[in-house]
Amino acid sequence: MSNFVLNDIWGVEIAIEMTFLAVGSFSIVLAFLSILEGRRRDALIGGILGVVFPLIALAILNLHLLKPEAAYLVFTSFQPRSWMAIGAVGIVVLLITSAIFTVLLMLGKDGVAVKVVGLIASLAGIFVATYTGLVLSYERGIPFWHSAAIPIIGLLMGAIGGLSAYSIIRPGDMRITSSLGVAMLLQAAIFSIHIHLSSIGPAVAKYSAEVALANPVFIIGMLLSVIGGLLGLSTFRLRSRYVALTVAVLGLLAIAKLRYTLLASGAWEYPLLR
Amino acid sequence: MRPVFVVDPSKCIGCMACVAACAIENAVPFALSKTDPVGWPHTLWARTWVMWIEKEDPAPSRTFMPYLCLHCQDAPCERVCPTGATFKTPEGVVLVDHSKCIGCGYCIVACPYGSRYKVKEGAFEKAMRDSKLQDVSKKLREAGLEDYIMKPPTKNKWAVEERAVDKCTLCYHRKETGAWIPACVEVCPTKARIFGDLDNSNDPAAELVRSGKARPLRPDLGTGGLVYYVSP
Repeated sequence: MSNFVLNDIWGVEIAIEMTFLAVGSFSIVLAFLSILEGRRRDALIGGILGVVFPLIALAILNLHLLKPEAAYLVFTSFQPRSWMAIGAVGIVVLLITSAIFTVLLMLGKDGVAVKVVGLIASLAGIFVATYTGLVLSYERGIPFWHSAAIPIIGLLMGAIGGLSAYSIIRPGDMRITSSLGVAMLLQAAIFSIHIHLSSIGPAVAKYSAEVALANPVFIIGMLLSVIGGLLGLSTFRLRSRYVALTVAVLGLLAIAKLRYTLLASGAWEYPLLR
Repeated sequence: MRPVFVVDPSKCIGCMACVAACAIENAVPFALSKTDPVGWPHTLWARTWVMWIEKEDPAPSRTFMPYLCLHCQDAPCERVCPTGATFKTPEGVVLVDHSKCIGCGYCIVACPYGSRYKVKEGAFEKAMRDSKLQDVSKKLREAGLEDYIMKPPTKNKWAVEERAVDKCTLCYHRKETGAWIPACVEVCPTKARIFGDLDNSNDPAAELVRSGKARPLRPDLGTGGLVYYVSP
């Protein structure tokens, strides 16, 4: 009898929610960088994405709750030791600052106030992306998640999400596509290292690594990440808008698939006296 | 009082009286539970369970492993709860305030012992409509034994609630009424589950802990708790 049990508490809906968070979190970072470079239109689109995507993520998360109508308790009964509570505050800060940033841009402002709000929103975005890993990695119950690699993967997924969105908004900017390529290759590399370290770690982590490796979703996610990464890097020479759009789509698909695999491969090892 | 719960798997005969007593005492919608004997409370939707482990070598054998929440001293479920719904009583019993639980599932993910499960909306109604339960009810009715037909449960203060995460309470409601002994302990015919007070020098459960015969289940996790297992 096996005492390994795969996670089925947080499944595909949480993977989708975290993918939306990833896109929203770094869209605002790129919006901030755009305003620093004087590109108001790009900054405005990034600001809107920084509001809409986290909102959709919150809606998905809320639907996953047994009591969606009581979700406000996360704020009114705030628990500072819970990463979920801290993350929820981070998402709300991201939403509010992104909204203020967007409204200021709509009103034609582009002074210090916009830049300060953009900076705060960007910091919130970076935190939210990292949080999607921290919420998994902090607890010891699932050793496959209890790894320093997971927040880094969360951060990279945020970068890939935001860069993919911007690669679609601005397909002619090869700096974005090539950065996306680098991020996708880094994601594939860190995920591979994580799988390897898990496979030589505790028995249950090894089991999770085997489950991930046997999952076609994981294989496809890794392939998309590597192919997208190489294609993205190729835009240094091959300056094609179509390649840029392809890399962006591959990036979004890769983070969704890898996030799902990460969640679905998490396993507990429950104690047995033999 | 410092409560302590000791499980001796070598004494367990797998009769499941503890599981039934818990279900009745705490209104667990047990008809929804899987009949698979292998599993943990969160995969079976039960507060307590008994698994069996079979071996062929050196000789065919079957041992039983009773399960329940360990009521950790450093409880991961309490730490991760985003609303404070999970809390600890002064005695160290980990409880869920159902009115504050939003059902995010973080505590289930964080529990290294699989001791929690979600109770979805309509669970009780679905349990009462269960086909096996209906068959038994029909046969009891035909035999004129209406009194034995399962009725909707009478709930105690910490009984199962829909749309919340559920877990063992060590029958804390009994403490509040004066006679604190968990239902599973009360019915165990072999004393595989015993409950006591660490402050009582003559308590058999406390003595097993003090002598080191009963130990925490996973000392490596450092969660501590009120539940100890007698090592084989």
